[in-house]
Amino acid sequence: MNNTQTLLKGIIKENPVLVLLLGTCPTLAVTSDVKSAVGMAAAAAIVLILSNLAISLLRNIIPDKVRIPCYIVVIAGFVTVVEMLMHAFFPEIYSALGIFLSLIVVNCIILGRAEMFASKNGVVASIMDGIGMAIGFAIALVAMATIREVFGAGAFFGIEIPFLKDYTIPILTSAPGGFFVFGLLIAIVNKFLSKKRKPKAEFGCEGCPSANSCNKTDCEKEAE
Amino acid sequence: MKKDSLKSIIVLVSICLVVGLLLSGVNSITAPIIEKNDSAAANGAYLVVLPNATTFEDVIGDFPETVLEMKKDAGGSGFAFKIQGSSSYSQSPLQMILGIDNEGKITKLVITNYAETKGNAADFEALFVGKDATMTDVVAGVTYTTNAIKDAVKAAYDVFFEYADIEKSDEQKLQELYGVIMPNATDKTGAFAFEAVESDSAPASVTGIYASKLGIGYIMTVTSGDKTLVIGVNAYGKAYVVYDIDGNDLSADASYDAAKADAEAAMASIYEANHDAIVAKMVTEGIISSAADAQKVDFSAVSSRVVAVYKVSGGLAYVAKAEGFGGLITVCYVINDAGEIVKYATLAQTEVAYENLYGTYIAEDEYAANLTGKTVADVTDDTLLIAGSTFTTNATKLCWNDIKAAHEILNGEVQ
Repeated sequence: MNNTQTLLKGIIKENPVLVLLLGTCPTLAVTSDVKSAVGMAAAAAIVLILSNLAISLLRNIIPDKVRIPCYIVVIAGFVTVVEMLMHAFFPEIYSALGIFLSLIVVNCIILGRAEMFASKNGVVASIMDGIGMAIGFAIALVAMATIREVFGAGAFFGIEIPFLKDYTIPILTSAPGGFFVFGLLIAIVNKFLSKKRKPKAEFGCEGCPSANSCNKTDCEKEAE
Repeated sequence: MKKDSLKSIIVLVSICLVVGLLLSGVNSITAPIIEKNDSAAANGAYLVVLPNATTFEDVIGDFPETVLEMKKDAGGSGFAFKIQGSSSYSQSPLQMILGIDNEGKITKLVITNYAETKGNAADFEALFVGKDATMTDVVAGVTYTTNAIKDAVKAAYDVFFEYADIEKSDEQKLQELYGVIMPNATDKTGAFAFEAVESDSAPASVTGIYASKLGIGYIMTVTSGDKTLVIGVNAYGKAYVVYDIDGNDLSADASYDAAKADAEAAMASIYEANHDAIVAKMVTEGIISSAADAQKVDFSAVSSRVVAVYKVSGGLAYVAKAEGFGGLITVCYVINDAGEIVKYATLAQTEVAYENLYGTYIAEDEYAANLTGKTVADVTDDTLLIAGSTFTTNATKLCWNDIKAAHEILNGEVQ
């Protein structure tokens, strides 16, 4: 797999939100308006790329036994840096994201990429993977936020849309509406990808979107 | 095994240390910006009125209910207040942010909640900039609202003087004494109206003469030894109170009698001229037939809107002044021994055209018809009320109240 493929797979085929179903919590929480979604996507992208880079660099130093605590420390460090920078320079987005900014630490996408990809691949590939995943995450967030804000609040990026603002669907901006849109998007992406998917009987490990990054021999070894 | 554990510990600790260093580095850059942002957000409204302020500190105190918050600029550029006032015209209270600098001047007034019928918020804001504790202007057409704002601003000043811990200037102290010495010397908006006057004949010790615009008296600053005294001189030319500049009442202290005499001397000729003018007007209005019929009665112990009392045939003639809509009104009541109002007339002051004394709708005759023949006890607010002329009616009431009080003191004593 070359670097371009690594980058592209995160966008649709292994989209972290809509295919891998990771990072659901921030996805639902910050997509009620586009502005917060963009802020969240940017913050997560920075952390994702930097942590992939750092973990890839450290992959031969970090002992296997303490790898998860090490990843968490590295990720938490970057999250805190991003949080402090946002608080200082983008206070508006900082307050809009609230607690979900800190919760990037436990965003499964980032820990997932660290564990599944960066700890096993080179620096360049890891950065590409980070960028791809970040773009995939951003696309999913912005798509959801656009649907929710346009139809739920009759606005886009805080700017009111004539006509639509008189016929809003307020539930879309609240949590249940978030689930509706989330489900809808997953269904669409699933439909889109289903033709490429292998028949159910042969599903197994090969049918899994994460098969490429999953070192299944490890599991099998442990199972033995 | 042991080696593995040791390696794990060292690596994890090193990573923690590196991350810790990185965080402290970033924090040292962002912490001051975050602190500034936070205080700016919390004090954004206050920064508008005190743009040079650095950080605001709360001032805790026992404030009147119109003063909601007081903030002190740690950088020393002044004080900011959150105040509110209520107007008769709306349910929603007026809320304002007021900035006062260290000299006691208003830097800015911003109205944050304005729910009145007329959109004059900007006029009010412009009205107060650069003003100090004495505010005299009114925005036309929204008198009640102006007064509500003024009351709130005055309350803020009270708090300012009490808690700001700033030495008041002599000018401010003097302005506060206006209300103590001459509580009746207010114009139609309730502000104390005084203007500085010159007198060629004043003794050298008299350093300042401030005449009530109503003409009910004078306040003078007089030097006595190393002290600056503030002396109230009433319309009869009598120095009736002595205060020092810090507001201590020294009236009973005989050692300041010389200063009182100086103050009385400064204005001696003016009173005579004033009295002559009033008597001449009473003749014109038919209250007396000639100047010789009016004998001056001394009513000089207090400050009152009653500026002159004369014994005339049929009773006592009381002359009082207050500010009505068009300017000063001067009224004259003749009350006999039985307490009956024998005559009522409006005396014009020479410098105010007679037709300005009342609105076009109101004639002197209406008051005269309402009042003549009534006894002192009969006169109520309704007797004095003439629709369409609120300010003038108020002024008439103020005059009447003081005349009634004067009559209660003088009736029976003057033979």
